[in-house]
Amino acid sequence: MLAVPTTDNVYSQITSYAQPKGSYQAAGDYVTTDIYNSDFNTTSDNVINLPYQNREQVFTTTASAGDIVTFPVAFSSVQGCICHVQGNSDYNVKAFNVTNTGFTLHINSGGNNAPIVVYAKGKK
Amino acid sequence: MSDVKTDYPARYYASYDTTATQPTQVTGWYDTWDMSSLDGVPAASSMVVVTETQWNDATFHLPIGKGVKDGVIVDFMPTAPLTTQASYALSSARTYVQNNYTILNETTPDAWVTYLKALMAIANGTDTTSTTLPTAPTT
Repeated sequence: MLAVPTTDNVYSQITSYAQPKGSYQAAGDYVTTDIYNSDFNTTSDNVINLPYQNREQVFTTTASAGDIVTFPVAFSSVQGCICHVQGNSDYNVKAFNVTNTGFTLHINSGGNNAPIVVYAKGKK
Repeated sequence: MSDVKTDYPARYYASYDTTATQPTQVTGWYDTWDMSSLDGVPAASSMVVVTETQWNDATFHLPIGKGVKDGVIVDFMPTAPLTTQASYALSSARTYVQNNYTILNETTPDAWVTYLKALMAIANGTDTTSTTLPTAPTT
């Protein structure tokens, strides 16, 4: 059967012939470079920036019981902080008095120069 | 309406206890221009400016070991208060006495009893005159 060459028919035939089949993202429905950089850009390997103003910080240091340990960069609000010994030792350490800028190190029965690794999560 | 670049023109700052005897420990590192909220951030006038070079210097911008003296960031290792030191020493001493005497049903030597009591007095605030911890018995 011969199709009448209307504009719609011609467009449909060209599309069917020339365009790969699939579902395509709508024009403009994507994250721009500026937004991507705003979300993820960081100048330190210790600071991991994430979308929606979220931020993680991971770092190692050596500290003694009662020391105040500061985060590489202060949070606007901190949600949690985990501290653990990174090494072959029996130190039992905890982070307490956690604030937006850091925490105080507790070591059971005290101790000096404990090698610790810290993970903290909060908002930029 | 306040603007972060007006309120914090240097961008990078270090906070500290402005009422403490100096040198006193750096208590926070702020990248003020990259914060989603400035609520609770000390005023720029009560912090020390950190240069961009210092901020990006991994040997300077440290989680511990920096203090403030006369408006300058210096090397500084804080010492825990004597009561805190006594609490830790007491905990360690108790463990030693329990493991070496109590669980063996042996009498705790007088030297250890004296040491424990001295630490307890400092830790609980009864002893306010000591400036150093007592020396632990050798055995």
